[in-house]
Amino acid sequence: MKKYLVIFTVMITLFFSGCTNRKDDPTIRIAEQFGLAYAPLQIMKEKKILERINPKAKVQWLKLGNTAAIREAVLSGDLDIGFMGIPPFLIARDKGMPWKIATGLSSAPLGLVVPSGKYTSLRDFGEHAKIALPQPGSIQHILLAMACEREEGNPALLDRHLLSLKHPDGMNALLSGAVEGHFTSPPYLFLESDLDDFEILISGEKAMGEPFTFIVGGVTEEFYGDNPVLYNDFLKAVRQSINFISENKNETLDILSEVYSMEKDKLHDLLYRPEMDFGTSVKGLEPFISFMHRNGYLDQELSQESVLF
Amino acid sequence: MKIRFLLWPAAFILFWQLLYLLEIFPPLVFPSIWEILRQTGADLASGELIKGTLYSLLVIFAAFIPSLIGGFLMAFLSVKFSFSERITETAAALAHPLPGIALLPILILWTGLGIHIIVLIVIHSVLWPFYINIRSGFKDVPRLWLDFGKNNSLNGREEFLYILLPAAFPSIFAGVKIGWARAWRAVISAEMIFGTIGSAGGLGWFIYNKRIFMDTPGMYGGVFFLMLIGLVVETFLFRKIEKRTAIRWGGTHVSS
Repeated sequence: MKKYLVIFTVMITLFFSGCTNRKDDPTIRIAEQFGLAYAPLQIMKEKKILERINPKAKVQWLKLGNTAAIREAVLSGDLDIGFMGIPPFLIARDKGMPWKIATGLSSAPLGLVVPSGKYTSLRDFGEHAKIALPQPGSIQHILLAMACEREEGNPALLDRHLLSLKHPDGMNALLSGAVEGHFTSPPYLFLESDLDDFEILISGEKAMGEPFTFIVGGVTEEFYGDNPVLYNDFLKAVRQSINFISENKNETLDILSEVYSMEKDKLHDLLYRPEMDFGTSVKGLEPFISFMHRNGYLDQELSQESVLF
Repeated sequence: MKIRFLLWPAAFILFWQLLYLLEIFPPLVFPSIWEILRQTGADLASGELIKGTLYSLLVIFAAFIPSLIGGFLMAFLSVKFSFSERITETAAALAHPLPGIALLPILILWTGLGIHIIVLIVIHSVLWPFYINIRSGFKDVPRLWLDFGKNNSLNGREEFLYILLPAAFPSIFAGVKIGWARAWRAVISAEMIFGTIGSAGGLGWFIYNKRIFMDTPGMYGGVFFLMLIGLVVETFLFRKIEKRTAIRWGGTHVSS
């Protein structure tokens, strides 16, 4: 009996001691996703750039599969910073999630890849043609709806044809002929459109009519208020990581080829295409908000101040 | 009986609301019961939830019938012929542990995209439990009962209809119950991974969509609706059938 009491007490003490320790060292918990557009985060993690700027900081990295999981982790208090496309970020902000954009991360070409020579406009898709893209409300879905509005005057024109598939599955489906189009982002966009049999019917930039930021970093208002020093250190680390990619190509490729398990030459070709533009500016917020509000994806017309720090 | 049917859901609702009021979780991921009810009411009124449920049910039935026939045939043949038993047993051992979702990429490559993919995944997750249960039902029929049949000089058809089938019925029925639950699991997870955006989708797609657009009350509404379907089918369909058949035939005892 006594033995169990001792074990029980020790366990309780350990359990609560974990909670109290946390307050002393500033902790930052960042979610990454898989993909070329997130390359600066991989560099920041592998080169321990944030730890070098702020040696006291405890940096934790989480890898989560999709944006919904990231948002839920942020809401449940397990994450401070999450990176994703602008539309899913806005959907969460619209529902009242207390976070704002701290920084941009990358701009990349997005587009609708179709078999070469088969389509000249968005109207040409037949009754049973399918178009694959990641999920409703994703940047790919919103851009395709924008393209339909811009070119054909009806944002829902292709909605009946859409099929939700993850990027690799979508690419398989396109190559095997199961779908007629794949709205995707690098590296899949590069891999598909490099083939002779496939071409880009409409690019994201053309759909939107102006350049836009692909991936942004959202930070909770709580973290921003509680850790102003660490917040600024984090922004500095993002900038340094972006610079690292352009200044130390060889080392970048060494690190990333291992992370992505890809050959260095191949990765060099994909990562350093001129269209892959890493930078902290946030472009295209306004058109995204007004389009998504107009078409019912957002309940409120969010102001710039409520979205950006 | 009626009161007991409501007891657990009521306790669950109270527990949920208590957790909500204690504010352990942020309300955006853990809404109150009233919000969930309100949103579920709205989704019922718009027809979205009903349409999704019917769609999923249709997929399940489309998969259930061939699985039931296939499982039955496989079990029957494996009881009759030992070489057929070797084949089906090996196939079951190989395929049963595979989650249907793992087959998705192969199925897309082989058969193209479409609703048939989800039906195939449901068939895969229902067929094996059917087969295993029906076969063990046939195998477990006491030798003595079959000898009774022989003594009364029943022919093969009579032996099957009056001894084998009623004796194996509890196992077959357990297989149907397991298959029903497995079918829901398979259809929900397949729809979450492989969804059609604009056109009709099932209940899994409904739940997934609600999650993506952060309509958390609507998402829980979909999950609870699914649980409700399970509860209703269990209480009002399976229990009744069990009482009518198994008890009458003396196969098993059922708690009332």
